[in-house]
Amino acid sequence: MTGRVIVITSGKGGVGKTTASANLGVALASTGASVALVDMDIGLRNLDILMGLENRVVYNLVDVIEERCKLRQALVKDKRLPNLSLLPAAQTRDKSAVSADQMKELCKELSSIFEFVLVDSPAGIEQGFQNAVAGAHEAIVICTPEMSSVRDADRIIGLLEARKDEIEQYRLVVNRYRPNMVQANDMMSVEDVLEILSVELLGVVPEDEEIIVSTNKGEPVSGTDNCKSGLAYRNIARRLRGEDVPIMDFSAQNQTWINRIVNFFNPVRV
Amino acid sequence: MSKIAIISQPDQGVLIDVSGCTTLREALEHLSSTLQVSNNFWQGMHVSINLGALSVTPDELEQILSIAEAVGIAPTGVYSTSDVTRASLKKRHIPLGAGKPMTLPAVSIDPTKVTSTELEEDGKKAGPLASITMRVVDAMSRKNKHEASPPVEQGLEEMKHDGFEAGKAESHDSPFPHVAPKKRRVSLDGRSISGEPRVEQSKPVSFEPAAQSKGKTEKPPAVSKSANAQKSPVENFEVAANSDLPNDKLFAPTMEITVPPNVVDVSIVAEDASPEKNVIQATPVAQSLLDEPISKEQQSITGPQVEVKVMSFQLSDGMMEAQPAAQAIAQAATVIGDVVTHVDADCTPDPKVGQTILDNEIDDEDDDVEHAEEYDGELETDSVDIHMSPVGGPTTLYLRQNLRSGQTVSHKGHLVIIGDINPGAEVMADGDITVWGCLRGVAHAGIGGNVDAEIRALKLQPIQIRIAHAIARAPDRPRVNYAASNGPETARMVDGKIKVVRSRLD
Repeated sequence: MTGRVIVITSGKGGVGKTTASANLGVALASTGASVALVDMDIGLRNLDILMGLENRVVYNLVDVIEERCKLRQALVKDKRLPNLSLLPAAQTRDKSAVSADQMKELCKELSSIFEFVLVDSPAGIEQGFQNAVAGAHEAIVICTPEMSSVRDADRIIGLLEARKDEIEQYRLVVNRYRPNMVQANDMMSVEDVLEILSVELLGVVPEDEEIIVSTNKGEPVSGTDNCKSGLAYRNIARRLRGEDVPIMDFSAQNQTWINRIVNFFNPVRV
Repeated sequence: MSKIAIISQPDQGVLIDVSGCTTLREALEHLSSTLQVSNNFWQGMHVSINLGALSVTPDELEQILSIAEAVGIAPTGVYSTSDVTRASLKKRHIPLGAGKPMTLPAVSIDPTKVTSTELEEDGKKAGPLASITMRVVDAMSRKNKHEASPPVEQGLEEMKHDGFEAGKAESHDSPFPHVAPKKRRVSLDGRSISGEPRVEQSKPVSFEPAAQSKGKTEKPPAVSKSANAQKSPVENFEVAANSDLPNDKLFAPTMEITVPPNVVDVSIVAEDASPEKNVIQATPVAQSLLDEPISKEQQSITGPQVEVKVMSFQLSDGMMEAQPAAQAIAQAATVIGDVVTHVDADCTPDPKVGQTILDNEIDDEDDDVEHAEEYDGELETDSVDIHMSPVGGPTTLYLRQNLRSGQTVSHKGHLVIIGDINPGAEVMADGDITVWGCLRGVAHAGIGGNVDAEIRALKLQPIQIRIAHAIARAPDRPRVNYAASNGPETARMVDGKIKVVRSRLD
């Protein structure tokens, strides 16, 4: 079996790469796929905290690459989903501990075991990014509807295009989207973003306070119901699996009074 | 390499390793912050510096030396792999380091062999970690018993005598002649082991499937074993990949093993209905592991840690070969674990011998808490005892500084840190670790296999604590209340489990 190796990247920091990785991992795994999450942010590891697996980490990615342990020893199994595993980053090392070739090999090994290998890339376009992209076949570019983030995403897409031989497909996720602000013309709309980036859209995730709660709890939102962003991530996961799920229509939210009443009773309709 | 590491050994002094830094500036920053905060410690020490591949001109070298001189250090040697730096060193008449620089010691924990049984927090009575117990990789205990070397548990005599014949007979067939296989016997009924040794118990206790010994667990029939074993590689792998799986699956009471046994993951079955604990998994042992060829060196390893140390001495002079040793240890642990699974199948069950203890019941947890409190009471007498250093001599490293995420300190001896250890930082010591501050990161005491090592801190809130070959992890709490404190606490191994007790101050 050859699994799909998908890198999640953005260029800019703080746009939600790690959150997206954790949530997509959980969402994909809850559809039944076997998923490995790989934290490539060596030296600044966070994915284990988001997954609530921090206290289970014994070995890490660098230990695997330097052959201090076997791959299966370093993989931390999720506490809720048995088909989801995390390969944590090293915290006491830095990005230069790994080379692109080693990553390629690691991704190959992982993809022979898992259906999906999600690689959480660090911010920036330096070696950390290069390593994260090295073994990937697909990329998900995360950006927020802000000029700086879009600019960085554009740069990243340029770099991904330059690797056409390896990266077959790259798609965009617009994160932290605020329909209200868009309506008030205070925020770029998804259309604006796509106009600039001209890239296939994979999904739109609304801004959600739940994300902060879930980060602190170590329980990704896509594993919980009643939460807009969680639903958005689950939809993205379904699209990744090839299902045809329409993008949420945020503008429909505050229209007729009937809609409002319906929404009142059924808040998770997005 | 981390950016900076302080490695110290009694006979070789202290090595400040900045080879993880990529620029001189970085190295200077780390050096100055490290040296200055702990300057009392450095005076009069043999300090060497490892600059790694940094290229340093004579002027820049002067900068480094002036930082060192400011805190009273004249480096006894500087290691470098860069020619430029070597030239500058020569110019300044600074001796090159002899031999290879010390490296961080190997950590010999095999997560697949270790199961941390997490117990619920008994918030009011005990500290956040008071109820954590854990299972030992019993390679250690096996070794101890086999050689009857201290620390020897009570009842050892009976155990030896008890199972000797079986063990002996076994050893001919065993690919591990040095390993007395029955010592690794683990009962699924934790109580029978964890209690005081009962001789009559050590005779073939009918080893029933888990389903019968524990009502909550199920053991799939043998038919499904082979079926499972032939499932897709993914499924098999997932089993192997689960570092949370209990060790016991390897030692499950299965009488004939032709295919890997299907074992119930009892340790994560709890009475509450939380999803992570309610999972009952039937899991075959990864066949691939069992098929792995075993080399001769590995066969000779009985107590992995000790033997491997010897090996590494033979390989080179001294402790320089930490990495190969680490690999050998890791492999040895793996291989021993799995081979013993085979051996165990035919050997007389001797539940008392196994050090590995299973806490699969809430009642057990309560027991633990009580135990912890009992110990709490006895602590006074305990503290009068002077704990003999396993290494001997003046081997305590004092550090006055906070360790932040990503920083590592290791020491062959006792380690005292005046300051906090933040999440993401790691401290390792051969002996005890004492933190005058808050321990929030990872602490590993007794890295050489010293099960008597202790970890104590004013505030004990670690992500993980490791003693010798055991790991305990913090309970999964929705949010850690770092500001709260239970006062000073001590973690030590009691009956093969890591227990945390509150220290009495009066």
